[in-house]
Amino acid sequence: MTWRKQFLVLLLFVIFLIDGSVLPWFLPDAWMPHLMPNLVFVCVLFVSVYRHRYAGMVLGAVFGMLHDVVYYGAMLGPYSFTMGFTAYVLGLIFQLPKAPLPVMLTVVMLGSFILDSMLFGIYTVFNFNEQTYDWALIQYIIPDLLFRLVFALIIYVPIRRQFDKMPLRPKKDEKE
Amino acid sequence: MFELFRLLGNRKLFILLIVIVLFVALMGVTLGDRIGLTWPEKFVKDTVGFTQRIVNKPAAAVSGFFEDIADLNAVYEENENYRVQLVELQRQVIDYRKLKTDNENLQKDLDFTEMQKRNANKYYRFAHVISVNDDVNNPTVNIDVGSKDGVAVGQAVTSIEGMVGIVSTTTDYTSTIQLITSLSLTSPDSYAIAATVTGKADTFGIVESYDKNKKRLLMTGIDPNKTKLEPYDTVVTSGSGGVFPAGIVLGEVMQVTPSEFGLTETALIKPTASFVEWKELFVVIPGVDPNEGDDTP
Repeated sequence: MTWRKQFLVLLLFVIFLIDGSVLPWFLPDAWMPHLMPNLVFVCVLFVSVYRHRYAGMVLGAVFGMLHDVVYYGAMLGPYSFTMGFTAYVLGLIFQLPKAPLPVMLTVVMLGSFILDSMLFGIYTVFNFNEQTYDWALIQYIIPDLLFRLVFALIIYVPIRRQFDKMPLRPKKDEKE
Repeated sequence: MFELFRLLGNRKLFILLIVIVLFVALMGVTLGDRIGLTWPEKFVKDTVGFTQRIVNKPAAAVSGFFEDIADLNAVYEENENYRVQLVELQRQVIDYRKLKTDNENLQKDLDFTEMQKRNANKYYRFAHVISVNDDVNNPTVNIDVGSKDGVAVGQAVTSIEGMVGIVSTTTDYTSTIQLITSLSLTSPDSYAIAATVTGKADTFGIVESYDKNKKRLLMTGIDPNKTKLEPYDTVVTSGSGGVFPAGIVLGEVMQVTPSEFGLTETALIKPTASFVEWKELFVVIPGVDPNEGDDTP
């Protein structure tokens, strides 16, 4: 039954590819300046709620670093840090193998909000943007939140089914 | 001191602090101008770039197909227009060839240096977009040509409409473009683009920031005593300074205002590139096209 885990990582990579190479060609042009889909992050949040916060943290950090390296423009690290950190914190608070749909959606909304706000903060500290937080909030943080919420709704049932089939071994996960 | 450690007795909090310090150090080190990438970065970028190319091809084809259907009605009119433009273009090409040979002869007579000749020439390297990063703070685009194709850091990239961005990193087979919408005075890796207006040779200004609220490029340092800039003038790169070759379209002048201290003028420029719909881009490489043999004198 171990193949499910490997499959999950592979699936995350496929979603990462879709994120950058397929979605921009199908989203309406008017949405483009307001969205940074980052669908991998939503899946990472699922992992840290239904599996374990450490698994979520590691996946978040690894895929964040992948994002940083592949789209390297300004600096390495912001995505890796924020995705890992957010997945860990939300896992710490909400980790519950039987979490119902409303809880999961709340986690996605909170996570999306924290991720975008932290990114905004990091880029502001390093002088990459001179916009105000209000502007960022309306321009992309809230649209992002809604987009990721819809994506979470779509993938909730299939992912939940897979996680329920996966045997939960908290002791072993603790060591990861 | 030990009191403080007891307060921080929570081991996880301590680890978190160390991780924050490490990440801030990483961000600081990779900030700004770097000379080349390390090999793990290149390896990851090339591998991911390869898979992205595979995923992207059918996606671009499918989305292109739907666009084609949407465009179907306009095709006849477009063709009609193109036919007229083609005839005009052929006439202009003849003129252009004559002017080009004249120019080259004059350059030879006036003893132009190799550097000056190189700046006068440029060629466009065609590239497919393989992935787009929609991050508002750090918008980047990956294309499928790299240093093996002659692309180097700092070269300009245009779409059919106008300048899109600047190559920020290259690996062997891919390169990353930073869009000019992220140009900013305060940003650690900023570029200044020397610009002029077509048809008004004595105008000069520097484009080095983009106003995200107004969605306009700012062209600063325009001398008010020279020829006045007017709305709907086309702004192109001037080629002076030697960073970008001359003649890359940047945008249209929308408004000219006096600058803060009143000595110079600032123009708001509407970029001609749309920044949303890319499939193909062109990297502007200075020098003579190596694939074109007949260009050598």
